[in-house]
Amino acid sequence: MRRARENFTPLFQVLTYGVLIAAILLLAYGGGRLYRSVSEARTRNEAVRGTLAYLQSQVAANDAGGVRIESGPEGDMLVLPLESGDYQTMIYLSEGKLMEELSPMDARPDPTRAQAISDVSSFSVSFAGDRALKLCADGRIALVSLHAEGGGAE
Amino acid sequence: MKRKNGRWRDVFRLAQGVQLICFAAILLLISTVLVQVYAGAVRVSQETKDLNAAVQLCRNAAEAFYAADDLDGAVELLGGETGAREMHFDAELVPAEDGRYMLTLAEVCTPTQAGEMEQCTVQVYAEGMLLYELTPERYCGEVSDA
Repeated sequence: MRRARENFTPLFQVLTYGVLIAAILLLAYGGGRLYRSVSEARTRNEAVRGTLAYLQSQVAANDAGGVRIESGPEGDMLVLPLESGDYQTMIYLSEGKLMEELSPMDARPDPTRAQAISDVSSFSVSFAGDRALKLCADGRIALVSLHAEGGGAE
Repeated sequence: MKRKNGRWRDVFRLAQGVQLICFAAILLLISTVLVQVYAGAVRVSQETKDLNAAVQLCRNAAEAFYAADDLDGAVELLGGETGAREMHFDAELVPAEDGRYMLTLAEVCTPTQAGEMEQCTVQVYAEGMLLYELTPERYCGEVSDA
């Protein structure tokens, strides 16, 4: 009886240590998952905010030559003609990336000549009223006021 | 000799028990610290998300204010009803009745010698706490007395 009790004590201790170590591992695993989800949310937030802020700045700086919305490779395409009238900046979605391309006037979009701005899954543009543009990237909306009514497009 | 061995065994068991208690206490301490750190990380993440949304909402409201002729027009551009000065938005910044973010607009016109300055105070709240405030201004030109 006594021998059985003596054998039981180390087994109980080993089990207790095992439970405590398992608790530590579980806590570390939970922390890892939490860190990953926080990090992913931060990256997504930064990407969308950066994209919208960049688009707002681009439109505000380049809408003097007029703003047009055309059909791009995947949905809407924002066209910002330069004031000189020879070139235009096209912003459109292609293979999960928002692309920016400077091309001669009336040229068709060519993603191989474009520069990627950011990774987004959706992009749309529409006029809001007479003097505002509504930009939507990954479901988030940004407004930009335009210098000319209707985007100034002829 | 037998008695001496028994005493050593008791001391050894006591030491093992103390060791186990210490281990459990350290684990409890580590767990407490880690849970606090995790909770802090979640809170900071939410605060960052709120601030991002608030800045974007304020900028949208400022752009709408510049694009519209009056404050009602700005509210309409933001997706609200005419006459409303308080609007709610969800996390995607889309107008929603029970949205987390509340945007308020207040307009002040200041007459100057060369016309009128229109100032709009845009504030964004979440759970009653002010997150961000922006005050865009625009020149409205001469206002006739007639």
